[in-house]
Amino acid sequence: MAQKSKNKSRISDHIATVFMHAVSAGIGRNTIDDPEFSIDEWQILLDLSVEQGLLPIVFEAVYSLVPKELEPLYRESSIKFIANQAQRTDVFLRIYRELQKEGIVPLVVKGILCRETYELSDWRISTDEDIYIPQEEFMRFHEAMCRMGFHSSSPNFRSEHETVYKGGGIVIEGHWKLFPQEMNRWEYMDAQTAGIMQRARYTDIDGTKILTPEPTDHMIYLLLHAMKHFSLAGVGIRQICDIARWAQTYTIDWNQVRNTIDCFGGVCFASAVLNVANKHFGMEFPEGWERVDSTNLIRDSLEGGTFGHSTEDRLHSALITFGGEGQKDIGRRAVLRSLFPGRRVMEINYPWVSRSPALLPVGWCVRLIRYARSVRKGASPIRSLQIGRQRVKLLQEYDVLADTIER
Amino acid sequence: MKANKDYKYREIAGEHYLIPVGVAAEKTPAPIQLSETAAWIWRQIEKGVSDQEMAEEMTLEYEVDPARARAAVEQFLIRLREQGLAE
Repeated sequence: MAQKSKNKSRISDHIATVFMHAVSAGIGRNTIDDPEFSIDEWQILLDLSVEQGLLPIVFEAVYSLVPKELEPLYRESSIKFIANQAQRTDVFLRIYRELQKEGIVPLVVKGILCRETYELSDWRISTDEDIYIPQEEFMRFHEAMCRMGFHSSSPNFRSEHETVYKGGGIVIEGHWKLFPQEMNRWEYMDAQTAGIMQRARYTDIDGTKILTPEPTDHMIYLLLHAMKHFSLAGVGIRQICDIARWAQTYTIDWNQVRNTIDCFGGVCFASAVLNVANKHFGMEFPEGWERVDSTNLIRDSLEGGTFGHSTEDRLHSALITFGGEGQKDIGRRAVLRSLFPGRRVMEINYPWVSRSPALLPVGWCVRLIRYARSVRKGASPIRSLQIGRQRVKLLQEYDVLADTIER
Repeated sequence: MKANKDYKYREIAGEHYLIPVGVAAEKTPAPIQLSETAAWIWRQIEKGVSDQEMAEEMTLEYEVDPARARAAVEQFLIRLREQGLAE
């Protein structure tokens, strides 16, 4: 497959249109009309699908049209993605049942819940599963996971909101805070979490009853989660598909969604996301919501890959939108801030800084060394700055408020 | 005959596969590709159709003579049992 970075500027409007159409068709196991692409254009489309975590869905819609020079490679990848996903889902459900036997009932969000809304659930791939366990029960959960052979670091309740568990071919993110640490408005988040837990209910997936948020709560969660990623490096097309599928599967109280999202300053962004979900993935646009032009959002999503992690440059640009003065100053101060982020930002990626604040300068050094290594591999500080500047403008366009994200 | 629940049938981009999960995946994680006819027989097993009914259905579905359909079904079922894909 072609190198990711080479394709960034090669996503023509035609390829973008065909890609969105193929995603929509593939979700319903339909095919698309022949776009009469050259081999290079096919390669860009299929690589874009890989970057977006949507290859199996797109390939399902286009496999009969893909040139024979490319077809076997992407077919093999697609089959592997689907098989691995089916196996990971099975493992996750087994782990969940084991936890239940020990009296631990985590609340499940995103991953498997979103997959279940797709007719071809294994085609919608997830790299991990996200579960929430209240902090007071978390150590019991942690010990159970370790007994089952999962590897992880010890939970750091002071400065983190999750611990990642790896084992049995899957990755499980165990959260003791349902909302990410980067999102501000902590008091409101805690109240929101309490409400979600009160309204949670059981959903049957392949014979396993799992605890899930009520559908409107989960829609709010998906939109806030998308907003978080949009604020950092980007929201992927798969996230928007998930929102569309969730709305098409469940009855949503859109007034409640708007009122809650409004508390986080995210109505403009959410409207743009829902506009994409409506125009491209057939979701009914909610009554009473105002449409927001989503052209630049789609372009940013296509170029950013899953969660905006398509290139090193783009990842580093997040420090301009996230770590810097961001929307007020995208010049020298933002660059300095991206090189030397504040303590709170550093604690997220370097938890030992929270344990020993005096080590903040050491953290900056480690960060700079890592960045220098990525520059040697081809990352460009100038490109990061350019992307960062563009993305700050994009945040302004979609009114993602400066104080929504902790800096 | 019952399909082993550790194998999930999936039709992927026009091809048919059995994906091992659970204990089966620990032994051999790679998907097993099925022919069109084998996939058809597998789907009948999952529906709980008997061997005899399956052969009769196959006669109609593929327009083959009953003896040939019976032989094809029997042969495939033996292979499924041998490989632990059904019991």
